[in-house]
Amino acid sequence: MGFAKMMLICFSLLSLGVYQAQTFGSTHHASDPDDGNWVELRGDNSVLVPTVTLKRPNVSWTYPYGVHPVYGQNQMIRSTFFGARDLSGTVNVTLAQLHYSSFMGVVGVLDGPVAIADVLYTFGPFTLNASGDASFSLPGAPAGIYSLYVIDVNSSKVLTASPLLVTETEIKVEAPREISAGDLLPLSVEIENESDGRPRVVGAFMLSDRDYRALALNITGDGTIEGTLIAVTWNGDAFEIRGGFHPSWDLFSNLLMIFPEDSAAAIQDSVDGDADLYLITEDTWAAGTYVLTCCVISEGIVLGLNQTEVEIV
Amino acid sequence: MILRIIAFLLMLVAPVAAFDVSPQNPSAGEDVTITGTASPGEDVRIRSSFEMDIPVKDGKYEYVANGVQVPQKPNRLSVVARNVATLTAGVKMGIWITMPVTTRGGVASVSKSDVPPGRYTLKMFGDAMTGASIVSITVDAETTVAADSSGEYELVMDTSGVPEGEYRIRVGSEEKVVSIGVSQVEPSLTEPSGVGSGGSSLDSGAGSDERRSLPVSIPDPYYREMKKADADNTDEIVRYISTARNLAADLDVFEKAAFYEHYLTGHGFNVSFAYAANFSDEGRDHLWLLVTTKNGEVLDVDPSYMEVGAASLLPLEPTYFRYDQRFDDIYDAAEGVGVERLAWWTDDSAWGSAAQSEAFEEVNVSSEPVEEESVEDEGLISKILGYLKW
Repeated sequence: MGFAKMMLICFSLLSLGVYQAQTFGSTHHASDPDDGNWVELRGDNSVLVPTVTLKRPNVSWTYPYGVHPVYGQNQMIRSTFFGARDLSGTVNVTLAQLHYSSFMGVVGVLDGPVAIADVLYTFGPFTLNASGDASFSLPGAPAGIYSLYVIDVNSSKVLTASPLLVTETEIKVEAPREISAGDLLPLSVEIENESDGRPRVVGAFMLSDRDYRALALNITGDGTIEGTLIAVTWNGDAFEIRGGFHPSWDLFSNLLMIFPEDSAAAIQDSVDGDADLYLITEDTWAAGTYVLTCCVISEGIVLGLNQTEVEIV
Repeated sequence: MILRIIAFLLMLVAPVAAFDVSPQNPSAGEDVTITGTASPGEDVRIRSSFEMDIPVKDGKYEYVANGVQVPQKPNRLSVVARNVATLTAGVKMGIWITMPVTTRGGVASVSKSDVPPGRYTLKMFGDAMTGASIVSITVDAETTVAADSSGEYELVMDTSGVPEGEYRIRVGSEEKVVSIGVSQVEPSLTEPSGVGSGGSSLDSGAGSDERRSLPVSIPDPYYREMKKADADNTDEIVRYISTARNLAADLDVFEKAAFYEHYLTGHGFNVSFAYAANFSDEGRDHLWLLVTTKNGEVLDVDPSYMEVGAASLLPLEPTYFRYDQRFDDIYDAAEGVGVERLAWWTDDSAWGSAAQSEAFEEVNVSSEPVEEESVEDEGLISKILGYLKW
């Protein structure tokens, strides 16, 4: 299994189909982090999030948070819903398997009612405060990719959704804090508490902090899956995904091509839970902070995800 | 025996795929044009290879090839590194992507067919075997061109990334050695053609100038695609070998290894050869198979395990942990040990008839018809690209 396969498995975990779903209405978001109907997740292990924007007639927002937590299995999920000021009453919080159409419907990319299926659990009701906000802590979940939905009890409208990744375990990544441009970056990845012999794929990707933050996902469309356009952009280069999201080699290879040259990736199969990898840098790489992301996947499950920084001098 | 005679006679009368190389003494990075004649519309397989020695410094080695051009599909690219303890291969396709290569017995090899054509920068690095002062790397590229209606064909090969020195170009059974960066060209050396006009016969690799005629050649096409097995199931390896054992009953150790390499490859297994010059310290050489699963696990498979005193078809004895050379396919193995020792196809009972398909219909483990197409095998940039591709 390779880097692409790992990526495509990640993509594939975003199921397109929705079955045996319960249907809800939805509301629109605003870019305001305190007032825009967004839910902010908190955790100890976070990853940087590219800038995500949606621009459609009558719908426009920029995702307001720059980092997103990754939870370990059964780790408590702490979050706060920042609703519009005029919201009141109570909300329920539902954790369900992430389905592309449901999630996109809630955040305003797609029109029409929102069907939520494969619900893991629903908690609530939680009473909104005077600002339309509510904080809550939810029990953990098995490893998987979910969506957390906040649902207005009175109107049965889904107020917001947030993707949520739960990994099976933690991974320990050892890497030099600093290397010179042109040096190899050695990585040692250790999967904690893993000795069951399952085949694993360990992947690592390094991108400059500056370039990482310059990555953007600009979404436009007419409210239908077919009419949706997701443009992955970086410093003027763009790759467009039209219609539904279908993981493929072409999609991945095109995505790969928009990354700047001072980026590197490594991939390794591992049967014993540990992996030693090398990332190649070149002496033309700009000095600065680079974001190193490591991921371990086994049989379609994300075992662990870790993001750290490396200085290139 | 009759077939052996027929094959030998065919070698004597089969046409030779003549070709020319221009320029004859290219400078590094210069295009080399290969032209020749074959039967109208014939697919002509062209192989090129070069070797280099990489110095070891502080126990480590590194090799970078800039702008290596991967030729048109169908193609195949492979790299073998010797005297290595570890090998990490990197390819720059926009960004650098690296992956480790399994090393056994000081040899690491990667091979892949149908690499997306294009220009890549390659980097190979790692730790050399203890005490080694040089790491030897062999790069082999193969592609196919179609002769036009007049039987003429042409291929332009970019030599970027190829170091100065010998650059071997082989068409059918004929090989020319071009000296890149050196003002001399070695004379064309012709070997008997294989069974069929595109047959491939390989020299023994005994020396850069040494050529010798081979008494037998590898049939062309050699590999056939048959019904796919569950190639990652070790039980399937045992089942397939057991099913075909009657056909291999009269083969010796090396022929048997080659027979099963062909047979398992045809059924979708990722198979290579392992060769030990002094197997089990008993003063004799030995050849067995390495089957690599999708997860990268490499299984030793020895169809002659009883002859060498091993306990099972999938032996676990430590003596199998060490081998001197790993051959990706029959062509590499023929270069390494000589095609005569592998020529199972000249055995009546193994080959069954001149048509391989007839032979394999007898051992097809499925009731479904056997499909025959040219087989894909494994290769270099694309071990990485293959990873990327899935």
